[in-house]
Amino acid sequence: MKIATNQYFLKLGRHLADQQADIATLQAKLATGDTMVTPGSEPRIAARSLELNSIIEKQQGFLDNLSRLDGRLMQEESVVTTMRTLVTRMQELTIRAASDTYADSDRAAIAVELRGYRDEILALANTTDPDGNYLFAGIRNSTQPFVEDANGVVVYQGDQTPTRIDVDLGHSLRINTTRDDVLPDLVRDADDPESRSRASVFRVFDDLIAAVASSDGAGTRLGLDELDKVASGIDRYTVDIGLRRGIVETKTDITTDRKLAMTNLLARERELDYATAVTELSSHMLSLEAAQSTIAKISQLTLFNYLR
Amino acid sequence: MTDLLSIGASSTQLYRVALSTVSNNIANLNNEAYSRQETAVSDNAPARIGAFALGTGARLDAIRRNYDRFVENALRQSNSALQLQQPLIEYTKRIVDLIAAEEGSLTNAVDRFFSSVNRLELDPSSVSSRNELLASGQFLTGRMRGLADELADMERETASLVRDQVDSINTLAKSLLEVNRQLDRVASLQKQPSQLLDQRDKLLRELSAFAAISVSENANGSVQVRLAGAATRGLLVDSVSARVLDMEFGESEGARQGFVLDKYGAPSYLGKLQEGSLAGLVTLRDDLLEPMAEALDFLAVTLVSAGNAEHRAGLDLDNQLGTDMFSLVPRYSLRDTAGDVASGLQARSLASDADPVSLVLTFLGEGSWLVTDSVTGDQRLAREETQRGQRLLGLGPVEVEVLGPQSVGASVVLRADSRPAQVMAMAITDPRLIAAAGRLGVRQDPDNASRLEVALSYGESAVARPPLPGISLEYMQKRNLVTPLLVNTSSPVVSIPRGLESFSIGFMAPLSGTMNLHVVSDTFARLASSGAPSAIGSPPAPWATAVAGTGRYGDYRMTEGALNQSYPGTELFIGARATGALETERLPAPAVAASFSAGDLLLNGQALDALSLPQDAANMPAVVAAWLNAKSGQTGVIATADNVIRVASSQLMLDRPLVINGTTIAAASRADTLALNINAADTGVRAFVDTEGYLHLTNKPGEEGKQIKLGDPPKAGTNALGMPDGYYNGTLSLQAVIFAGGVPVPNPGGDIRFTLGTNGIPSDLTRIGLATTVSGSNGTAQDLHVYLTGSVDTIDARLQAGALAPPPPRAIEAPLRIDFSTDSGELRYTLTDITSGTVLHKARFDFDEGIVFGDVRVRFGRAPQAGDSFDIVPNLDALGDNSNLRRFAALENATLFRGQTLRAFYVNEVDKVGTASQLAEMSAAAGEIVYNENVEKRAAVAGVNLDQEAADLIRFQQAFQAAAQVIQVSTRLFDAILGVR
Repeated sequence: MKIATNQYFLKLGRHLADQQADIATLQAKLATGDTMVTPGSEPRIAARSLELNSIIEKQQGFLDNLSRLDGRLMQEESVVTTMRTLVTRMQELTIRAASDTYADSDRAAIAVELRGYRDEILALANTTDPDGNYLFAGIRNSTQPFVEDANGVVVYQGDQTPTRIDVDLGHSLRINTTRDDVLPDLVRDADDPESRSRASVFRVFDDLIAAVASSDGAGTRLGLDELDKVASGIDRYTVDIGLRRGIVETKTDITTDRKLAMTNLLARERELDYATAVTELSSHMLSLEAAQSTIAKISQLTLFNYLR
Repeated sequence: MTDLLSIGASSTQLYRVALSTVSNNIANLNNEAYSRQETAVSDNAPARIGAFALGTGARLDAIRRNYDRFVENALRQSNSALQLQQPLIEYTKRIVDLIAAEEGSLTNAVDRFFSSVNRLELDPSSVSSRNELLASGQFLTGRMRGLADELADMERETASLVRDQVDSINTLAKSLLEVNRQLDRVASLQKQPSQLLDQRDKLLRELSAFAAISVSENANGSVQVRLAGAATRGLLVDSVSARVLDMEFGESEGARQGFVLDKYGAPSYLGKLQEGSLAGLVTLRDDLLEPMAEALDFLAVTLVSAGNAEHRAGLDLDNQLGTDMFSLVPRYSLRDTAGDVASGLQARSLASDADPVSLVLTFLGEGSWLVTDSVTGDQRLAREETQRGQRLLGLGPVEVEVLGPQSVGASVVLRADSRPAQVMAMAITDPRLIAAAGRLGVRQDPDNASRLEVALSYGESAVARPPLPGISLEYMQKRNLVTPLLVNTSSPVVSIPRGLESFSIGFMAPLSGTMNLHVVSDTFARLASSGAPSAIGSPPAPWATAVAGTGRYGDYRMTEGALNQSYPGTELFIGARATGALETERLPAPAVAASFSAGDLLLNGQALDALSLPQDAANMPAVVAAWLNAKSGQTGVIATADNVIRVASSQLMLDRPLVINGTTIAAASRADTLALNINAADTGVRAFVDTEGYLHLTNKPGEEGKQIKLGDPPKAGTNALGMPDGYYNGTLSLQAVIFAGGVPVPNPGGDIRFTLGTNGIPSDLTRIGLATTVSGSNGTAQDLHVYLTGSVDTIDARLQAGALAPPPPRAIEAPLRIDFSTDSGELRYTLTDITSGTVLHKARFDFDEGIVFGDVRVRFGRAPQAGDSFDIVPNLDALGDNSNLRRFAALENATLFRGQTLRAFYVNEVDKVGTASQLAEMSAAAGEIVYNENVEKRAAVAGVNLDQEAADLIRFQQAFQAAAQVIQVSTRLFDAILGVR
């Protein structure tokens, strides 16, 4: 079959151009270390990258939330531990006040000390987090939850609604705390429907202080029992915090692992295999050289050279 | 001539031509369009010399053009196939680069947005986190707009490319026409100049790049070119004319754009083109660009409406209900009739959720405009208003500002020229307006048995269930519907949608057998019934035991006013009622003796006495009327027995016989004559024709209500009245009256209300010609359902429906209390409005369904106990509540987008375009191989090879030299002759 001269050159030129284009692409890949030079050149990898990047972002967001949650729990833990210590002190003082060896004047002094602890616990109950939100106010966390009214009675102005945050798809964790969690009301005379009533923790404190101040033995002993219940409540909540921190830690580990797995998947898709790429580049360059030299040689073969 | 000289001379000429042909070939070495020419030499006709034929040399036969028609055809076809892919490759790469870029993709922006939502969940009152959410929202909407704008740019670019290519085709066709005309001057292909043929082939090749063509060659080389479309092949060019190619733009949804030849003459519609870059562009636009743009629009519209719905359910920092978070405000353009931008006018969109309008505005002068709706054709006048020095024309959701003078009579077209994705924006700029808190909160009574998880969800929108399967509410509202209903215990026969302001459903209870109807709510609260229901099938609801002593069901039974308190805006009535006057149906003839006990039926609350119904139907109406009238002093209703047969003149069949009550009536040719004949005969019936031409038959005075017998029943037949022969029983005419001085005076506003007493049954009403109707209004938050029970299979029902009340304006609900109690072993709940103490709703508690009121659904983590109480209160000052934010965040993974999440949907679109891109590349790679092969084949036939030309050069040069030698020899021979002395 005859080959037209200009056709011949055009074909060779096309081959050269193709080789050079391939080499240029490989160079770009080698320079960036990425198999996907532009999304248009590798649409399938581009689509996968979008998905994986999205998931990785999401995991990071969850990790951020988990760490914030842990921080908050840590702060609550420390506040609650302090409260417990104070209640223990109050228990010790009350035991002393209940004993007959003390005089009325001593009891008055104990009452003053008890009052001091009660005030400290009140202050702790109104602790705020670093953003200025009250820790134990439920969802109404911009208003001080425990407020003393004109008569010195502590009133709870917060709310009982739990708040949750998302830490995973379909998985949310409780973030806030309400009064019922840490300082729940006590029920007095639970068995007698007539005189059954609820008393807040601070009411319990105030009643105890009054009983101690007035050397009311029965009242003091009742107050001691109630202090026990308050202490158990705080202990229960401390355990709860511990459990929650445990869950947060586990969840953090799981999410970190998942993020790592996704990152590896993405790397596998995108990272260039340098060995293969360099080998390919060498082979393309070899072809290019061969083509160039053959063109140079063969193009000189023409009959006209011999027509002299 | 056989002599040496002439042979030599002609040979040199010949070989000079051959040499110049060869040099021509060499000169055109790099001319793509050139076909190699070669000289065809043939010998001259021999001369007969005696017995011999001597050759006379050679001549140039033709300058043959190396041309293979089949190879050319194959080349053109493979070119069309290859060019088809090129636009696809180029633009799909661009699209994927656009939508899948790491930073610029929509998924990246969505991720950032929902990340900021999640971060705000931690501290909903933080202004800085709120600002971050707004910023990421701006980024998201900005990306959406950016992507949509870029796609719109591509759309414009490709549209203009299409126009350019169509123009190119038309230009090439015109050039080809010229070439054809020139070719037509010569009759034979051999004699055609090669250059012309080369030009022809070049034009054809260029054409084939744009569209697949089929070429048929005539004997003289001129061609007919056809474009291959989907529908037909249209002639583009022949020797006579070149038809113009045009686009057809489908204006409506169904009409796709296509190509048409000779649009304004004798059009041939090609539909889509088969191959070539033009077809590639059209495929790109129709199958990739447009769907991608539509997908973005769908994403934008769905995200905006779902996002706004969630946001509106919450409360912002100032205790106000959330407003829209996103907006889709269309961009309007004003263009004059030529399609250019109208001068001196500016349009502004006012409402973000109204449907875009399309209007034609015609200036009438002096600030008046004629506004024509482009869709409906409605017209109205509008006047400019001057506000703050601006001339403004208010047109509903759009406002036009008149900036410059307008010419009277000139029209401009006002249209929305933006796609939804191009105008998606944030509607909120103030961080305080982000509605993070849920609208309502739950306060659990500390005395409850245990603390439960209570979840509130919003958006229980009333999707109006059709009242009857297959029959829409609109249909029922427009006409009185009469339809048979199947009596069954497992599903309701009619549903009354919530918010329906009036309805009435009437059943003609059977005389033999039983029928009862019951009205229940969605949550199976039994509201009313006409009798004791037998076991209702699934869904099973254990009915309360009969209210003691009444034998009747219904804890929450409607008694006068009692239910109104529990269900404000709701009224249910079972019985038969009218205002002012009521006409009964024809009283049925009892098959067996029947009677009422005292108190079975009540009229206007008054118990009616006992009554033994006469066995014959003839006198029934009179008896019943007398019975009713016995109590007219207390009931305020007077009954008159009556019997009317009313026939339109057009219905009369005067050639038939007429027998009334056994007496034959003389035939008549006209209605009024017939009436006279009837009156003349002694039948107990008198007749007259009214002003509208209706013929009336009624009883003679004193015989009101008596049965009228037509013909000779039970023999069937049709009489002169055009009515079937038979017994026509009387009716009752009831009228509400007030007694003024002992004299009854009609009371047009008076009530006529029949209800069922303790032992009354619906068929009692039927006996006195009344249908048992359930009517009223459904102002509850639930649909009401009517069940029919009884011993019959089907019953005819007459249905009527009024208007559906508009949804109430948005407001935070008033505080409610939910109390739980047990009754007869099942858990019930009571909804009480705390402020007024009104009991709103009592029903059986279904754990899976929860409790629904308004558009709120309350669900519990565990079943509550009897005695538990929950308050649902507005969530005011709940700055730490993030429940609405969490609902909003759930949109990220909601499968709202044709069954997929937002991310999956978007990535799917990217995949679609990516797949198309790869497919196009593979097809192009294959196509290129075929094309290159064809190019080489053609080059093999028509291309110039330098070596071959060089050889020919030598050959012809030698031949020329030899021929020159021949001349020299002949010269010498001649010299020899001349030298002879």
